[in-house]
Amino acid sequence: MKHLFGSKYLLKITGLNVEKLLNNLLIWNIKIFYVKRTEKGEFFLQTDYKSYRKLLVKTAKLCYNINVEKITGIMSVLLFCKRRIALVCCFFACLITYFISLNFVWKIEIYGTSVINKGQVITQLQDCGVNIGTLLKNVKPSDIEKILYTNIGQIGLVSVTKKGSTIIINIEEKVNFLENDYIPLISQFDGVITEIKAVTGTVVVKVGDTVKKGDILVQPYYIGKNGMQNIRPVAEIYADIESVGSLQYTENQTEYVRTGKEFSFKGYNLFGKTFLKVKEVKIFETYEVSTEEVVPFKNWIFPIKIVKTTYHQTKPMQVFYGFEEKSQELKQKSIDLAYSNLPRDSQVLEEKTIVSNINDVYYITTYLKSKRRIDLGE
Amino acid sequence: MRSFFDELAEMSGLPFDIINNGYKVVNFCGKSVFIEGFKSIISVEKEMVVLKLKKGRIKVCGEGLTIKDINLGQIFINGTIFCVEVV
Repeated sequence: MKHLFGSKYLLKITGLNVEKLLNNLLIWNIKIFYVKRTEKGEFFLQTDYKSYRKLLVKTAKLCYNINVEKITGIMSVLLFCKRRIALVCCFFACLITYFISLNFVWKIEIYGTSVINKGQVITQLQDCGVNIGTLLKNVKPSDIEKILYTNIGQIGLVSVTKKGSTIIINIEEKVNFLENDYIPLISQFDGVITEIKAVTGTVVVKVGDTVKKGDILVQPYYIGKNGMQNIRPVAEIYADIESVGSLQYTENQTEYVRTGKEFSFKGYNLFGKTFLKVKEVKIFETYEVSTEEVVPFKNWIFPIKIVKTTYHQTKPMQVFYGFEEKSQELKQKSIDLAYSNLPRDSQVLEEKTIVSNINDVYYITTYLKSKRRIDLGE
Repeated sequence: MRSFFDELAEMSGLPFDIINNGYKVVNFCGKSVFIEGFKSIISVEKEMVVLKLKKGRIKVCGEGLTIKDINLGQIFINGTIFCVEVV
């Protein structure tokens, strides 16, 4: 503490026979530190305030020049303030003003209003005698809460607190239930219930139940002391949902290949409309059709196109594609199909792909087990 | 500190009056010197500090010498100490 609040004086002493002065200082019991000789007949030393005053008294009649080079500690602050009276006065004036102003209301903050008008709240406060500039000790939060709750019907809950020179009003508005709020919560998906978090209403299912889309999960009522009361049902219900993606594949497939025989028909096209087209006649039993457009006039003066329709005769051919070559591709297609059937925002828990062969037909099926909230739709 | 010096004095085996009335010098790694038992300061320079003892003088030679603390009979000198001589 002494170190923090004590003052140190750095003195420069010049004169003759300074060593004698040092010895005298010791005899007079004057504390000195950091004695340093800089030049002949010149010394620097440090001392505290009391010792400095004593030194000045004792050396008053002696022929030594004692100059104060530096002052550190509380004394330097006091000297600073002594030479700047105006600054000190202003500082104290500000301090006093601050402490006085702490006792008044300077701000009113209102939170939680959406239906209620803030002006309505402020008007009520003014009627209670609470306004900017009112003394804080005259503001009683509990009285204000009662008045606001009584006079503004839409307030469900209100709290008034004083923080510094601000009055904070937190309002919880009453919720107006509409007719449509008294409808039960219905399952939007098929699944097995795994978790129920009910807030209001009567839950009619339990964990482990299998529900289908459209089943009632929570009824919009509760049975209390006064009998059955309608209430808007609020709950979070999670279920395991299954999603399946299935494909079939045969190794022996029929493909149609062109025989080489073909027959063409021509027509003309102008601005997207076909004209002068020869009537197409079915010639081949199995065929492929190809269409070609030719622009006879390159300079676009006459934008007529010749449309040539060609029928290519085809014949069936048995082709063998082994399952092993296509298995990865098929499995991926099955997985993609299963995912496309999965509702959005589902959390996949398990994925299983099964391949089975029945009568040379491969069945690739992917089962996905996922978790999702079923009281909400997609 | 007195009890420490008393212990050392006992170990030295010197008579009590010599130990009590004499001077003591403690040199801390050549960076600081503590001297007890001097009578007065004869001279203080940057390279030399001379102190008067009851019998004789004690001279501290070095560089950048400053008196860190001084009381009646006790002095702490800081700086680069080259030698401490009793003359």
